[in-house]
Amino acid sequence: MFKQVSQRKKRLGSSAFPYVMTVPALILFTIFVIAPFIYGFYTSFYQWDGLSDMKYIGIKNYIYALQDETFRLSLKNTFVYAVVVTIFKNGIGLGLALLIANQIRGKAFCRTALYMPVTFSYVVVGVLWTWIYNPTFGILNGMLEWLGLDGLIQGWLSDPNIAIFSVAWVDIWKWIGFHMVLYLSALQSVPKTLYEAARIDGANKFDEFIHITIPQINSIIVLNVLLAITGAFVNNYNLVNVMTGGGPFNSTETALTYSVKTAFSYRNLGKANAMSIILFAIVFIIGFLQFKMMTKDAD
Amino acid sequence: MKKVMCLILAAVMMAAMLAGCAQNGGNDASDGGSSDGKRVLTIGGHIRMYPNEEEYWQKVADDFMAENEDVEVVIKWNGSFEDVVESLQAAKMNNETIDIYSCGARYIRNTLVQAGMCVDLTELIEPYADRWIDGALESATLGGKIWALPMGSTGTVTFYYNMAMFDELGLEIPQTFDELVEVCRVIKEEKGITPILQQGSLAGYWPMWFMETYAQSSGHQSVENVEAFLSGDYDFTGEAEIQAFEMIKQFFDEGLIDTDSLNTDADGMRAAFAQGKSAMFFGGTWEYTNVMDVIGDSFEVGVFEFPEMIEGVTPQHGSGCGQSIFVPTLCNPENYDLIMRFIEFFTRPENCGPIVLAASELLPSINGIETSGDEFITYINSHHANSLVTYLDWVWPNEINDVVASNIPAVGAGYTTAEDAVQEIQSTYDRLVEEGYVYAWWDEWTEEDWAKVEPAFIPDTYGQ
Amino acid sequence: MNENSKKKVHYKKILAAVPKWIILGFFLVITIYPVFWMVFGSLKSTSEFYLNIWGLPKTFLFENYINAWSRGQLGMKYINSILTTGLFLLIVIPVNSCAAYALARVRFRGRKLIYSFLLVGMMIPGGVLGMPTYTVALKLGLVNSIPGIALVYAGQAVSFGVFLMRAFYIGLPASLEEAAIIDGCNRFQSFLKIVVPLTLPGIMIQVVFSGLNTWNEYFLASLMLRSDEVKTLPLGIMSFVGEYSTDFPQMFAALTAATLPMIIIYLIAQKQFIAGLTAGATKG
Repeated sequence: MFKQVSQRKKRLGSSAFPYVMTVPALILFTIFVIAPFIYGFYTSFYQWDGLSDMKYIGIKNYIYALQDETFRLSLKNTFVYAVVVTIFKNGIGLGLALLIANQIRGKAFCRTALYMPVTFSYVVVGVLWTWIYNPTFGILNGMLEWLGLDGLIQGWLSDPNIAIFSVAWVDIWKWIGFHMVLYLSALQSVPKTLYEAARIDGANKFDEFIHITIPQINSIIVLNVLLAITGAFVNNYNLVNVMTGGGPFNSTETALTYSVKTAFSYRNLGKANAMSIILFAIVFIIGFLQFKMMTKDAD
Repeated sequence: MKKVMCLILAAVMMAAMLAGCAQNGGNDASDGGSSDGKRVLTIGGHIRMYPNEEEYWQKVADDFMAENEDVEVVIKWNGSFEDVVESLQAAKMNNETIDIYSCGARYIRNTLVQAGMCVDLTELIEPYADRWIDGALESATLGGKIWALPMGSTGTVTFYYNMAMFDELGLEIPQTFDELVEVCRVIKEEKGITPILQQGSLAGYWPMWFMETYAQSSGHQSVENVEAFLSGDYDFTGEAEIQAFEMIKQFFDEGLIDTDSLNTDADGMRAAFAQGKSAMFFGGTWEYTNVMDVIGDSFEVGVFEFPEMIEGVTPQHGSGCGQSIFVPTLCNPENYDLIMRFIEFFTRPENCGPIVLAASELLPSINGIETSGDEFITYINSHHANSLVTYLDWVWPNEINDVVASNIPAVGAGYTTAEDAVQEIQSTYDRLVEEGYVYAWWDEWTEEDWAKVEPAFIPDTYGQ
Repeated sequence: MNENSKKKVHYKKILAAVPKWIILGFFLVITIYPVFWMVFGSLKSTSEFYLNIWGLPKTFLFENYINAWSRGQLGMKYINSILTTGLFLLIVIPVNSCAAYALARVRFRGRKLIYSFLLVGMMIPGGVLGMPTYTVALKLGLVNSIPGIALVYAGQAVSFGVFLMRAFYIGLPASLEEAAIIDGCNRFQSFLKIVVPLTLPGIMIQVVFSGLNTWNEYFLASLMLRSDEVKTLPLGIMSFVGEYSTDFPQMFAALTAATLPMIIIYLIAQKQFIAGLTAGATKG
């Protein structure tokens, strides 16, 4: 009896607890992410080169952005890129995690080795992969020739139909280690007893994966998918920039790279911010749809 | 784990302390006066790019201080070559003082002058105008005013070729397009390589081709036509423009170059050239040093001019002096005498010489700088240098440049036609105008705008 | 079971593992070889870097490291980078862990709203917002200071960190904290003593991921850190990049020197993944 009362007291006394815990994060986040974002939103209504005086032009920047053919093309490219990157980063990441999860020997080694590309600077990634893809001395075409697969030889970065996938593969290569580590840590936390129970019920490996593993690691799957999607939409600048700079013929231009170009090369900050806001709105809708769909069970 | 935490904690405490100090130390240079009563002259610019360039700048500053004991020169290099505009924007918001700024001429011409960041130097520099080689100050002139001072070497564009390979195959330097086709045919037959491999994945390099072909197809009117086009007085969809694109297409059609170039960046191009997997490339004279570094002792490299494509029309090459200094409107308005004293000191050939030559030895913009008389330089000076015109990408805005750049290989590789390409350039211009682009901004400036870029005073006497 | 069939089973097992090792082998090659390639590149001469692209250097030019170190003035920048990243982690790890814990384990009014609000941060496009971020930092007097930029980085790492940590907290059984509370701990103590150690893998993933981002961040640093005393490594690495060419051997030397600590930290953090695993094993 006494114990119960004191427990309730504790619970009441701690009604401020969650707020105290979240306030520091909220403050930091609001000041350094939301405030600049709002400022960016504000400048999207102005004509501005960043140096001279701002000139209010209403929603014209949004019209300019949507009228711009290159921007529309870049949005389309971004969708293709995002779909490819999200599927493969997660597919391969989870696949590799499952492959080495029950490994005893060499597990730490694999986990370290596969994570290496994450630590690479984009400068190194850019030189490495443009040279691997290089038509005159690159190893990819050389390897295909050696294997007798001459028919598969491509202009990996020069064919506008292929270039975006070549770039996407480098993105995938760079981040599979990261996704794998996330999946591994989630797989490790699935209680072994669940599998034992299932095995007694006669479940095979596939059943176990579908009915135990997937639901148990759902929150990490959601996280991984969201990270891949948002990464492909709002965080691909460095990679595209070092690989192709948007070419050939704008076939690898993404909405983000084009907005950065508009801001810093064309010095049209208002229009660039308008593009950012449009991109944000798209990611926002997709992100929340994905989130809602994948977390049916409330939490 | 605890140990690790302790270590991190200790490191962070140190960090906070050090950073605190740094913060105090960092700000005092920007407020114009130093503690020991000396006047402060602040020099800014992007991070130096050439070997020893930073030391040379420091030496000039030290020598200047030795001659002017009442002055302290502070040098601050910030950001990369490409970040100049953002870097100045940040400095402006932070109310930093910068008296002299050193950066690429293209950023000054295309952005900074129009944004009111540069002081009008026309009157200030008049007493010393004869220090520059002919035409140098004109290249820094917009709307009849001088905005910047070219302090570097003049670059142009040229074909580079593998001399050993040419000798082996008994080939001569081509002068016309037909001769070039013949040279390439031999190379292809004997070596089994695509003769020309270009740094074509970098879109920025393609407009150089257009500048060459357009100079010929327009009958040496390329710059004038583009200026008229940007002012709205000239349609860019005419015969000359289409022909300029089609001339480039001939290079692809005749097999002198192929789409592999679209897959190759500057480093890939140099690597392939050095390995003998290509025989020629079309590049800037500023690349010479880097190309030679890559090739080492493997073989000798020669250059020749872009070929004559139309009989009787001599080639013309894009050109300009890459590095410049200017006086930002962020300068200390009391410092004009000091600024000009420094500029006078700096533009003496013995002082700025090492800095100018660190980039390249080609046509230094200041009179009296001794070059080494290298074979390559002599050749360029006696051939290319006779027919130079301003780089078109210094005239047209970056948007137009990017459209031209992406359309050239597209026409060459057959992804689009020359007619569509010029249409796209024209429609991009129309879009820009709708978005508020003005070419002759100097005609639109108000008196208030002009007042902002006027020097606060013209010092009576400066220098010696 | 006789000897023979035992062998057969063993043989089959090995055979079944072959495709697995082919797949793993492929990925291991394309992830490990680049590390060597980068180190090799840092030891070549400029011309060898281009002529002998994929192989071992013929002579090992260790002076590239010495030259790179002095040309980029990397010593001071190295210390600054360590301080920035250390301070950043010290801010962001506790902040994110606390917020994520509350959002995952406590039911309170506004929880969903706060969570959604923080989530928005992951959807904001980077790049163009560098300038507005600088503006805000300037207004707050955080420009040209290491704690200042660490704070900005911390703010930008909140969304990811909270989201990540929450995923870890949600999987924990409620019985754990109940037991702790019965033992006389308050909510915060139970969080600190029971929950945090169990989610070390999540913390370590933040350390290696967000820490790495901070370590490598260039653009904001180039705007905010304007005097030499506060500059970080990525700014030093820019001194090897020219307008038309890059001094790759020296730059690779600098990048190797900059990447090494990240790999070491990853190796240390990796032990914690396993520690987290064994701790997790006892919970069930």
